[in-house]
Amino acid sequence: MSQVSMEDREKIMDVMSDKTLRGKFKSDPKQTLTDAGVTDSPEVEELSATMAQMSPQELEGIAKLNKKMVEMGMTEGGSSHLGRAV
Amino acid sequence: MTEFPGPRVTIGEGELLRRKLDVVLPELAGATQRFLADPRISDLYAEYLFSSHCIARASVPLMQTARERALGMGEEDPLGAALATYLAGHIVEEMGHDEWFLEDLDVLGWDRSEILARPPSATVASMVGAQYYWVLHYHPVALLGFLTALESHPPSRSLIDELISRTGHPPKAFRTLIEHADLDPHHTEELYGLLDDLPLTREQSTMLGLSGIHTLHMTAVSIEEMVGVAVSF
Repeated sequence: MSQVSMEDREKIMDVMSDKTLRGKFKSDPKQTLTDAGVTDSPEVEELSATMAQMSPQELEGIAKLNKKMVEMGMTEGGSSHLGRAV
Repeated sequence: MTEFPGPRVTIGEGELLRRKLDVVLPELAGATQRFLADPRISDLYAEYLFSSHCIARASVPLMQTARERALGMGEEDPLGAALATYLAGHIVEEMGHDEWFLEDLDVLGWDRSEILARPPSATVASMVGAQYYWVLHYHPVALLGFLTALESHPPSRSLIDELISRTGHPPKAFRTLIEHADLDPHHTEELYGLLDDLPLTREQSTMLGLSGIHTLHMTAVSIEEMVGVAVSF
């Protein structure tokens, strides 16, 4: 899911942040995303389904992080994560 | 009241939280790439252990606080008893892990008394402190977002091998990471199972997401601070 391009992430977030588009997504997910210019893929399908479950508060945070990642020049997720072993 | 125009979730809460955390993983992946590429990686690894110790030494007291709060909610709250039972077991599992970090730092020549005297960063305080706020002033279930974010994203064995190779440090200085690469997948499965069984409201589900996302974000920021791409103090 982290392999979805930052551009497509932003477009999906735009859909989920708009009440009307989010409603359209509920009834016809694929068409709504196509209309928004998102390239269809299994990863996009999972990401959009996940974002559809997020609250506006969560989406707002994700949008800020996405902006930061774009500004830092990240194009997609890597596979190594230096998380915290606690 | 938060508005949720989207469809109601049809997957388990554990899977939903995993997916939410996946959405923000690229930030941590980017920070990790910068860390691995930094020529000062030998020194940075010790700093990483230090900040990890700062988090680890807070984890058991934090869970104890959440457990007491969960017990105090009584039978009126449908989550309290299950949460308290889970935390009682997990507290035992996590006890003493902060000591492991001190032992790894000892291998690198760090003095224990100096480690304990050094003030933890504001980022670590923000990561842990946010949990205290949510646990005490919202609901102790928030802590499961923090625990899931940490337990489900420990450094993998392949990343640990890469760190050993790049830092030139002896494998003995990586004991804590190696132990957790083996232990945490089991802990994660336990957490996902618990989340699936809890009768969460939508707002509590959101709380879990915010808590987990904040934790991963702070994890990424703490690494960015080490490599100098984020402000630290």
